[in-house]
Amino acid sequence: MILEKSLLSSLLGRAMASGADFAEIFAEHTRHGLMQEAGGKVDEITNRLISGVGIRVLKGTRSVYASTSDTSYSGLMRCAARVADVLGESGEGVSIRLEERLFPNIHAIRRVTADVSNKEQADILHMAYQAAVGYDQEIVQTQARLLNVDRNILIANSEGLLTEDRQVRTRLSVTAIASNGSENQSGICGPGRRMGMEMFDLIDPEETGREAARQAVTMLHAGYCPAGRMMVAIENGFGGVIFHEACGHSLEATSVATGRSQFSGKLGQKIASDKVTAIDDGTEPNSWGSNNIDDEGHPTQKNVLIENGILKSYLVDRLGGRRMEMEPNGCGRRQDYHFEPTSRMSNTYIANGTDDRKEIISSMEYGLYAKAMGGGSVNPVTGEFNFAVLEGYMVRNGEICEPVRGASLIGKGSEILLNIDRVGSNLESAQGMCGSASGSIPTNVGQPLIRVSSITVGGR
Amino acid sequence: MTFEAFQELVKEEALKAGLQEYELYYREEETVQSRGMNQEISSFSSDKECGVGFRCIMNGKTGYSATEWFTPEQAHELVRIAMENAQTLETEEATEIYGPSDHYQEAESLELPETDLQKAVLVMQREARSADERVQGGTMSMAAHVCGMVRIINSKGLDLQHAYVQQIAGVMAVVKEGDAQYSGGKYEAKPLHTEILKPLAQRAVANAVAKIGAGSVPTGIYDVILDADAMGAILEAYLPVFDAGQAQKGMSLLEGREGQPIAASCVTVMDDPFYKDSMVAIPFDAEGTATYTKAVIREGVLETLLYNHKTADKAGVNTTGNASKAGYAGTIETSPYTFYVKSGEKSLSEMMKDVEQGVYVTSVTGLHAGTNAITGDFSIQCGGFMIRNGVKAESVTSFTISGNFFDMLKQVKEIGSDLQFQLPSGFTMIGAPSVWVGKLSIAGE
Repeated sequence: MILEKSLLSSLLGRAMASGADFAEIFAEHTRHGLMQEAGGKVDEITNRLISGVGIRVLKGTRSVYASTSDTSYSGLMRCAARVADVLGESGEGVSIRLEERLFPNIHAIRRVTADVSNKEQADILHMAYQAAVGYDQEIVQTQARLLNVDRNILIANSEGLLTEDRQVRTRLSVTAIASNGSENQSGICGPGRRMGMEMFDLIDPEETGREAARQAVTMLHAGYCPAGRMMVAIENGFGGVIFHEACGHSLEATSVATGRSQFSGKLGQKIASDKVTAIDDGTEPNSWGSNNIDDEGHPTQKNVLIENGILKSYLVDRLGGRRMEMEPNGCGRRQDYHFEPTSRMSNTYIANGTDDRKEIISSMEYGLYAKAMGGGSVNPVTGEFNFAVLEGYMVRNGEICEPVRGASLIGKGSEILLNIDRVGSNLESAQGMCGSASGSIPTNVGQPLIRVSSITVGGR
Repeated sequence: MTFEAFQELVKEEALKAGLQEYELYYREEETVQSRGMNQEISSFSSDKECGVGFRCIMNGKTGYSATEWFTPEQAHELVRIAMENAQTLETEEATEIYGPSDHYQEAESLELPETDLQKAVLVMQREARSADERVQGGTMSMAAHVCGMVRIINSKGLDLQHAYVQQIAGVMAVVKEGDAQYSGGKYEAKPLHTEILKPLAQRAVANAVAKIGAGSVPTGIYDVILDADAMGAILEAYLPVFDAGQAQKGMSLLEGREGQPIAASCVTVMDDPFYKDSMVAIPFDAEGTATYTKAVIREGVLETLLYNHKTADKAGVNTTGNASKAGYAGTIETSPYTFYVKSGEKSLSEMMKDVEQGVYVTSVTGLHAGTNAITGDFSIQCGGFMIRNGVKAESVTSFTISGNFFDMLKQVKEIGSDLQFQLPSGFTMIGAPSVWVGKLSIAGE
């Protein structure tokens, strides 16, 4: 155990001493590892141990949070006293009885990457790197990175909960640059899992390298995407970023509870086309965004957010739940102990529909086929979003034509959801890092091929 | 265990392992932050982080490791892991640990007021609400105080330390008209004297109110003026292009362009570690080298890229004292200090007079997705105002500007006089005045 049970009880009691109605301790020891290859050689390796504690107290809908990397007895007591002092005059400490509770481990790990030799990690990088470089003569630069996290967390709270979890993740990411001498284009592929080295039984590092290279070379030979409103078909996998950005963030209690979301007060109402069912599922075995428990100690859940176009649920953390008078549903997450947890996505996707893939394209007179999407962002207040199209193609008369670069999709979440007129059946997910109030966390985005009847395409 | 005791243990471990060259890079930072909503304090947080990064050189290879846990076992692990990492590296680029520079310019220490953060947050809450009756309870205000210290100790006798303080305040205003909500924000890193709080809240509300009933821009090519915040944010997104390390890896199109014109002659960009009143002043870089003030672009000509020792050695030049680390655990990279586009003569409205029809951009979002530092291409979601007959006209929203950063630099028509700074990040703070960037492609309605 990261901290002794008796110390945890004392800290919770001290934190509660000024009238808080809830206190929570989050402690972690996390190993982060990164190995990078560029120019055909391993050129960077870093390892970092994060070790610290965050203490939170709630009084009604008010929260006070303090965190520290000083985990000595006096350092922790100062931290507990600090949160208590902000709430008011300290009185008597409260006595908290903790009961250990371990939730089932639904994400088995076979070989923790952090414990594997540097050489074995370097071998993976070499395979990915060589495959990218060997793809085409136009590939001039390639960078391959292997990241791993071994996160050990403990959560104790004034309701008596004491639990721990170990969260192991591995990700390979390849960036390839193609050049014709005067201009560069890049391609990226970055698969990850909540797994150790056994991830590479499922994922071929060479395929990852080739995919990054293919994208870069394709875009080097692409012209600029024309600008304007048009029909857009968005491919599966990272295409799911559209839902993540355009709608997912607006369904988080962080924005709903404060009345800053376009979807506040719309439970039970139709907010999307009938074809849309959207799910956030933190329980998917070994998926990138999965966990046994969230960072508040709730078991993760499969939450249906939208069912056939009707808004069914929000993502609710403990504090958000108080503000909204709803039960938390296992989505309180944080980057690390520096951050107060808040409602976040895990593995979010638009579920399979019934539309035929061929028909989705063949019935497009003119538009854009976004084969690969990049990152994006959203303003949850207005629902305005934007995201980059990494690999796009023009569609004319039902045929996918020439590749185009430099496109971005912009619009409003509430509008795009209603404008989805086709949902295919080739659901696939892809990995990303999502940044928000509680830091940067691993999340999956996913969807089958979908089509939006009209959306603004930024290009030139 | 304190850092003082811990670093002694690490030195002993290094000695035992036979290491000749090593460095400890220590950072401690305490951030106290208060947030408010609905005319109340909604949250208060305090965060203290102390960590140390260890760097060693073995056979010309650099090994890194880092920890926040100061125990005897960790002192051993820190040295062991760094040595193992150095042995795995396959690059043969020589790196060194350097002794102290001959002279370090003094960074003026900034006097910050002892602001009650909770009070400041409530002042901004009240001011935002009274600024416009359409302001909603979801309007958020925040104030933060940061104090920290960096210390570098190495085997070449270097032992430097520098303490810093920062204050930041901001308001994200939400306004409602009919069923539609709009938001607008303003954040500033400035000493939190009471008199700066009210204008800040008013500005955030004005930014939100401007969006009410905003129209769309017909797709086309327009003259564009970026306001100071938008220009600063775009410059920040393209910082990697000025890093010599990126250029040497073929990741920056400024590779081999030093001494050549890369921008319009009205463009001068300074990198100043001692900029007056800056919250990121620092006399030494992450390798312990003395920092100094320099022009990166002078009258359109690229005078220098930014170097650390490794990239300077590779290029056969002197380091520009721009070695940086992203926190205690980072590897040696390159960053600027107070990095800004030098002001021109004209005010924003004078500059606008020469634009018959154009777009004045006041907000940019999603830069991480919409900009590509390798190619220079951008396609950025914006909000702002039309410019008609030389004056600011109706507000417009949900359009993108597209172009290429390097082309844009060359096409700059005029630079305004209203220099403003972005929020600090590490020891970097980016500044720009509003800039008439010439013609850009706009996608709207």
